[in-house]
Amino acid sequence: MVTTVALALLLLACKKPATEPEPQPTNNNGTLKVNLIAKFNGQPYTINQAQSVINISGYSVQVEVLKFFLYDLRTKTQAGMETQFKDAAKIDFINGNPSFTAEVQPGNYQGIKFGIGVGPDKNNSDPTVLAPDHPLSINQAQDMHWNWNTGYIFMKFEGRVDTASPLSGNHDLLFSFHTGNNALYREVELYNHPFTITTGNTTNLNLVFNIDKFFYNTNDTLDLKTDHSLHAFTVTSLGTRVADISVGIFTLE
Amino acid sequence: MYKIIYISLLIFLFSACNNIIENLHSSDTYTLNIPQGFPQPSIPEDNQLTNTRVLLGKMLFYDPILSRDSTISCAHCHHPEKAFTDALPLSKGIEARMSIRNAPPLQNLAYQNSFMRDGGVPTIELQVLAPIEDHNEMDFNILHAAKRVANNIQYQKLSELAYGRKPDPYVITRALAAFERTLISGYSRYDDYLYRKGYLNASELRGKELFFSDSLNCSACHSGFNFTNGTFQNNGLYLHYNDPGRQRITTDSLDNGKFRVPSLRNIGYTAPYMHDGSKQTLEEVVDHYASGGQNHPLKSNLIKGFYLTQEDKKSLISFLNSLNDSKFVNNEQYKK
Repeated sequence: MVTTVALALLLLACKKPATEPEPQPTNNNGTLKVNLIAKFNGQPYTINQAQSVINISGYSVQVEVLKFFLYDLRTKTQAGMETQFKDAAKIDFINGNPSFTAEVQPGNYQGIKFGIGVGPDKNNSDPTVLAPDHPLSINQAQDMHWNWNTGYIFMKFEGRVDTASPLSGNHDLLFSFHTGNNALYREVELYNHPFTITTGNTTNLNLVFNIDKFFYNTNDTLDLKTDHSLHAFTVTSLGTRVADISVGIFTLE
Repeated sequence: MYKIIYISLLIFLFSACNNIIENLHSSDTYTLNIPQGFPQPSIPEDNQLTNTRVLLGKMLFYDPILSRDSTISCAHCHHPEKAFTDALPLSKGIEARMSIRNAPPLQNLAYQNSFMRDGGVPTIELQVLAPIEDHNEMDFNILHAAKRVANNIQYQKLSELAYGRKPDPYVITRALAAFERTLISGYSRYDDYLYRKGYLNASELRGKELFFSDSLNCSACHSGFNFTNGTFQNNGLYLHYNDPGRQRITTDSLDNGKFRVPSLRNIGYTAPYMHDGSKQTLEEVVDHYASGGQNHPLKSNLIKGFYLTQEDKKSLISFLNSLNDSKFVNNEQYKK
């Protein structure tokens, strides 16, 4: 009994604080802080707060879950040299706009590039072998990993929609898009937003998830009346459409 | 008084277990008993077998600690005396929830290169996560399960000895995989006949002849030392499958109704049969293949139907039962 209490106290004492300080660069590097921001038609959007917005189809939409992995994050110098600055990041908007940091060598950069999801080199690997603080570890990935069909869930985008015409005010239709599978992995290149990293300083980069653009691109429109459910651990027509559309969702500010 | 006896008993059991653990060494290699005719299995570099790892895996296998309400263990659906099946068409999870498939036997897993009846999981280690987190089975979260295991002093000690770290998802998946890799079955009467001057009676020999014949084609899929070619086949069980099988993994419509070809070893212990346990007896199974099955468009073209006399049917089943390995199902090392 005494041992159990002592162990419990020890565990409590060792528990990490809720908010960890930002890591400081260990050499002459600077810090790149990527702030994820959810927006709808250029206006801030808060996930899971019953905030209604009208999408391209004229439907009233409320987004309740927005989670995804960014993978193989890279920068490119003005001279054209590309370097990975982070292998993966798990993004979850449940507690507001998230952010992550990485050490980057001082220099002038064109912008960033990343994959949405987890690259084929890692997607079907064992999440229990990774350190508990790694974004792809079983500890961090949690419900973003399929155990019966080994692989990561690339993105979860869920919510409610009112598709009535005129709008009824009842958001009684649920939508749920879960993407995965190596064939649905897509890369996003945003080498159109120069930034500079200097030794010992933090450079902020705002990566915007434009929710309005989740529903369309120049070639396609998702109609939530019919296209409202996707659990694409494998390649389906809707899965491919969502993966292709997702490439155009992100912008840098 | 009873309380004192109970506490004394607990202390005795605790110290007995401690003695066993103290006598283990992290480097004690576990040597697999590979039957004649079997190849050496490939063991992952990070999970080479040691006595400690196997013991830890076995303890976890029989411990309900891994289920959300602590009511069921792996052994709940995988009984050693039934070649690690449970004699039910569909297994029952916590709160008597029905799983979606028949529990497969756990034998010769060290030779498999994918797991689950649809092959959705690439390693035994990763397969461990599936039943623990499946809503219809243990309905738990591996992180919560690991916390529970880590709170147990016996498990803490064994885990440190086995893997040099505290119990966590890595240790749990490795240890259970280590134990399951030791479940090797290759000492049936048929193996004795092949390699140890054992004998099969006339009926079994006739059954063997039929089994390997081109007219029945059983051995086209049930081939090799483990009586499976490891492929996924639609055997014409249904015209319309409620369970899409391999298609669930690939979503390729050409995989509809396809399931892994099961090993036939210990088949006499593993009724009922098929992915959904819909065939109660071996007679029913043979009747299915004799009939040619349902006319599903993706049915394997090896299943064409055949005619057997009652005598030959009995012989075929006698041969199948000669694949039962009584040493395996009675092996005390595998039991709790």
